[in-house]
Amino acid sequence: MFQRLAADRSAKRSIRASQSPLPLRMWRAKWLYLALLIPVALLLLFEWLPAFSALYNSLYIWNGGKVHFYVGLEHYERMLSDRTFRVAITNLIGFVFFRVIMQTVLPFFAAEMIVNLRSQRWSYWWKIIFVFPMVVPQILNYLIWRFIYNPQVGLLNESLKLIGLEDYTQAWLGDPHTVMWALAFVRFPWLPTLQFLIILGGLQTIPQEVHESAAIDGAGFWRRLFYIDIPMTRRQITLAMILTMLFMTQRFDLFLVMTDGGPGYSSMVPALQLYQSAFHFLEFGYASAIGVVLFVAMLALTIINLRVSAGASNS
Amino acid sequence: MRFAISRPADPSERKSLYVKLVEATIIYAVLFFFALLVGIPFLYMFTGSFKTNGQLFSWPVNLLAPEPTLNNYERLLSGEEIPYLQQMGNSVIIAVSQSALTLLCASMVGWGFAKYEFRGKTFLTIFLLFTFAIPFQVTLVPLFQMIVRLGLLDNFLGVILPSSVSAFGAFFMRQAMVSIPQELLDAGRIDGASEWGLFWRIGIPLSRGALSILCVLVFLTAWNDYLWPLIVLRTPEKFTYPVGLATLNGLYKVEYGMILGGAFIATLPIVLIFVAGRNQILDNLTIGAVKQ
Repeated sequence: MFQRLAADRSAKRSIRASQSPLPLRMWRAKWLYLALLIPVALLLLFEWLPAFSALYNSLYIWNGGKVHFYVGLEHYERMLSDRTFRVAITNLIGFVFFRVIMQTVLPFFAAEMIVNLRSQRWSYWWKIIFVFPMVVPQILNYLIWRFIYNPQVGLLNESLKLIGLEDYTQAWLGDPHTVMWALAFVRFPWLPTLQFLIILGGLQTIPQEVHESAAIDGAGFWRRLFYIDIPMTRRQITLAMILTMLFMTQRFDLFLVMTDGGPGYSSMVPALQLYQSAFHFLEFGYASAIGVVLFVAMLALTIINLRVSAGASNS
Repeated sequence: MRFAISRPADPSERKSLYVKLVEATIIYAVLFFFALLVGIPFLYMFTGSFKTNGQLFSWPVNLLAPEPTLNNYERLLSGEEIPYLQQMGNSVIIAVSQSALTLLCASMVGWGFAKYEFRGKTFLTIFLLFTFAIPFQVTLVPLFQMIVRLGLLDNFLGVILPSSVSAFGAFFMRQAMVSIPQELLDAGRIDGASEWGLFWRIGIPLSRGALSILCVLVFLTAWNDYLWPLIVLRTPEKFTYPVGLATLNGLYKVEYGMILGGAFIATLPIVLIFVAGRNQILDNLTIGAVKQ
């Protein structure tokens, strides 16, 4: 009774507060504004200011030093006829598409199996096993995969010889036809920690009763998967996909360490081309232009994604 | 829609023992295969650190170390080639302060977005989302110039500050904090807590799970980051450990054994954090699942 009264009073107070003039209300909420302002100011300084100076630099020819003159949209025109850039874009689209599918399906698959284990203890330990690899430094994974693909002593070719498939051995990273596939398969079986945990968290929130009543209605594994588990983790799946997309589009250390874009430029991606233009060829203007295009593309993808997921949750 | 009224209610009774056994075997076999693929890099790193360069590249690959040598570790810790221990210390300072700053900023912004209505909220949300889409390569060169102008070259602050606020972190915290019941805040206000107090006494403790995950993610990124510290830091005494280990990747000789050993020692703190926070990490991640 007393609690209800107090709640009423506080509701009245908040109504009264919302009727007082705006400056006064803003002054009352000064700590809130301050708490938001400092991080936002830092983001402006360290993310948006550099991004805008990249936009500005993309209109100039600039070698990082004295040479600095205006050329307008010339860099963007050059990009349209740049074969390397075209290959880079094609590679990136294929790579991101493949990884987004794989890095959603396989973590989902693993999480589904773990959730389905009867023994709580075992499912706990399996979770630990799959999350644990995040302690291994990324660079070490790349070194190991380079070793796996090594044409002379690599694990992959030696295994193929062992099972009598000598004809299929090749220089996986040295052949323009196989290099992108080899790179796409790095870190097989693609269980990125964050995405795995997000999907696992979603599956764990599905109440046991839902599964039980589905089982009573005679729903088998596949039926349950498509009518309960996937629809009920839609938000997590969307989030995992957006994250994978953003991470993979920006990824270039993989390409830098494994192939440096080679052979030729057959494994080039825009992020690596940007890096090389800037730090190998000192074409900071062109590098900035590539960056601007990359930014706009990612922005567009983010907006489309948000639209799609908002639409899906409204229906 | 078919209804199976005549069937027994408990689904586990319906399946024969044989089917259940096959199912369990398949699940465990696939999980085991995954675990194997996932675990090999770690094993390789661990045993490789006890091998000489010659043993590392002998064929067939031996994932174990038949003749272990401590030579790599001795040379690392003696600090003759690189000041490894000092570089580890630098990494600790940078990663800890960066995590602390990121967590503070992310949870403040997340709290503001989750629990308050204010002018410009929609605009700020879009602003944060768009920040998330800025590729870091784009900002690399301008950011470097800014660091030079601020005089933060070869200074830890130059490494820490630019990545101290993450739009991703803010969103992550918002998702976790949205589910904190409004009644708790009202009760707190009635009891006379300030808004700042509500944040520290209710917001932070109730989002421990999300905080610990974000902490691990941020710490890990900062700990293993290579490119940005390489650009900002100039003297070996200021290097973080990945930059330092990379200097062993010399022009004429690559000390793979030492690199693996250094990487292994560097994962130990992460393992410790992981072991301490494993339950938080595993059980509290329900982001995206916004409960009312």
